Amino acid sequence: MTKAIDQGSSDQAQDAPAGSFRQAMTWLHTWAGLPFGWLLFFMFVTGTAGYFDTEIDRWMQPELPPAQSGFDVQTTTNVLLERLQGEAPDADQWLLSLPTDRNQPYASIFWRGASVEAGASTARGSLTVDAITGEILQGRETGGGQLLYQMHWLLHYADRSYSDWIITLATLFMMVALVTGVIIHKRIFRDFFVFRPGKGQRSWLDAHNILSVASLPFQLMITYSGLMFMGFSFMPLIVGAHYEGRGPFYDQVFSPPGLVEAAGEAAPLVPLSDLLAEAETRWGEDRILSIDIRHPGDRNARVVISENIDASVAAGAGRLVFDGSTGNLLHVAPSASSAVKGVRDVFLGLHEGLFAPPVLRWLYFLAGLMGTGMVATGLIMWGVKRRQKAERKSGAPPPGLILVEKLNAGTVAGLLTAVAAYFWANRLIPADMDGRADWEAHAMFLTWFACLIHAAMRSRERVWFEQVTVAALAFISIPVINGLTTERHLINSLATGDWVFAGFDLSVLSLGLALGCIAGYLRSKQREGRVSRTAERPRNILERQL
Amino acid sequence: MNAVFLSLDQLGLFQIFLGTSALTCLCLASKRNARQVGRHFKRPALLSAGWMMIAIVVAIALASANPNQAIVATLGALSLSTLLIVGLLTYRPEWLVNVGLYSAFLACASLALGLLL
Repeated sequence: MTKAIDQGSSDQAQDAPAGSFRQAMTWLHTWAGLPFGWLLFFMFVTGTAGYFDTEIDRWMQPELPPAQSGFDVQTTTNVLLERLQGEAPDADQWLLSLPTDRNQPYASIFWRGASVEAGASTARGSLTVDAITGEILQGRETGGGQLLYQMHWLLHYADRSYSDWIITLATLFMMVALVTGVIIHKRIFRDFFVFRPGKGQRSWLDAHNILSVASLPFQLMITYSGLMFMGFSFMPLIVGAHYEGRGPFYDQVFSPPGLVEAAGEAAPLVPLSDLLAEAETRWGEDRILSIDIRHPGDRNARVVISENIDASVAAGAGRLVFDGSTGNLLHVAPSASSAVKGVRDVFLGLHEGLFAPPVLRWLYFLAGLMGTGMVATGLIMWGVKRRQKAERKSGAPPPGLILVEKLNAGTVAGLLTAVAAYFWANRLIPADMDGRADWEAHAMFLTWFACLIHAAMRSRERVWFEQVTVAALAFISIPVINGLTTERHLINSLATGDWVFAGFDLSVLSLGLALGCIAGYLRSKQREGRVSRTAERPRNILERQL
Repeated sequence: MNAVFLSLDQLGLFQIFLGTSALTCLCLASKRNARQVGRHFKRPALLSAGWMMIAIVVAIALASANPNQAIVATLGALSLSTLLIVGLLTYRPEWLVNVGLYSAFLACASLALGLLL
């Protein structure tokens, strides 16, 4: 019966008759997925980590205190304003970000166009500031979770002029792979819960199908919204047809309304307390995300107060624009200035998941992991299928197959080790070393490179076990290294209820243990393979003699 | 605030529990899956129960959050439930029926707690 079930199951690549639509789609699915597969895997790994970007930021700066949200808005605003007046006099812009929630655990200030002659520390800069005392919160220099998640579209070393195009092409190919994947999967509902382990290519196909189908809405959303993110880059002519460059377009669509040039005439900035009270009356308490002051001290000063975005999925914030010299409310700008921007905000908000509280954030993370697994199983299946074919024929396997297999091992397992190396580097590079943030990223990419070299040199039978074992050890040891290099070790975090640190340490530990289980499984498979080869050898000799 | 029934976190947990129960019913409504568990079930009853629970999951989500958040929470929870059921059906099929039953109880408990808190 099991055999009958196996034979009747979906093997989309082989069931389709030659020349049929489904076969054409199978071909497209295979070849759309492969060329950008390793890049997509990188994008999924770093993007999935991005759902905990703020938590990773905080783990990577253990010197900083616990999150400071929940303080009185008026008091915090005064503290930040005083700091900006001392730090950046005569600036074109002051931006005060309030510690509101998980997305903004600390208060921060940003300024640009300040006068160094008037006593500004720098013309442009930003600082993380204690919400009560106004003192600078200085952690170690690090790229943190932000750099890690930004890699998934900036590609770190690449220039935006071509990285945008590479990312867009990869995303387009991903969309093609998703749509064709749905077309060629003949039994989406019947095989919804079916996974048959230990059956080689069939098992990889089942795993690929389950991971894809169970998270299909997420994968479609993340890919489509990813394309929307890049829309202005890969369809520049649409903006170009209506605007003189992208600047005026961005100003009209994204900038707050009613901003004007400085008048060049001094006028004191109105006290912000009434403006904040007006915003809280409209939005409710503790709903203010940031206060953006343009031309402070000028007659044309404008104060833009933005609303927190966690009440809806959409990424855009509602804004109130006040005259900074009189305090008059000039504009009430809704989060979406038009229906089109509203749709865009929803898709971008869905992609970023900034609205998600802890349980939903974990579900986002899980869906990201499923996407990562979907790409990984797709890549591995490409190799497994062709390896089986190659073994049926005599002669050496084709070089393309060997290349894919080695890239698979060096990327699917190697990139995980590389991410662990990023965290290792954060703890092991001296905290006061110049350019340490750069070296954290270099450590990650050098480790990935080393894993690729290792994969190129080792045999197919050994490489997966070795790489996965290294990845497991690399993740399991992160909490140990954290414990040895900081006071905020796992036991301490659990005892003090520091769930950001405890959560990070427990997550990497769990990931390491899961990888350890996979390594154990690979080890047993390796032994089985050796035993079966030994058993086959005498038979082969006998066959040859006969 | 949009949450009028359950908070988003409470909603997520409730959906994971009831979603697991609902998908267990739909999973066991398939003859092949039921055979893996080694039991025989009344297919129409399981199908009705499964889809009814899915409808409850969606209804509670819409009552608790705005439609966009409700969709995200529902699909995320059902993804997790699917993975859980696939894992059980493959490696611990004998646990599946009990997990389906207990998760329905947990869903009721989480809903009651969410309403009380």
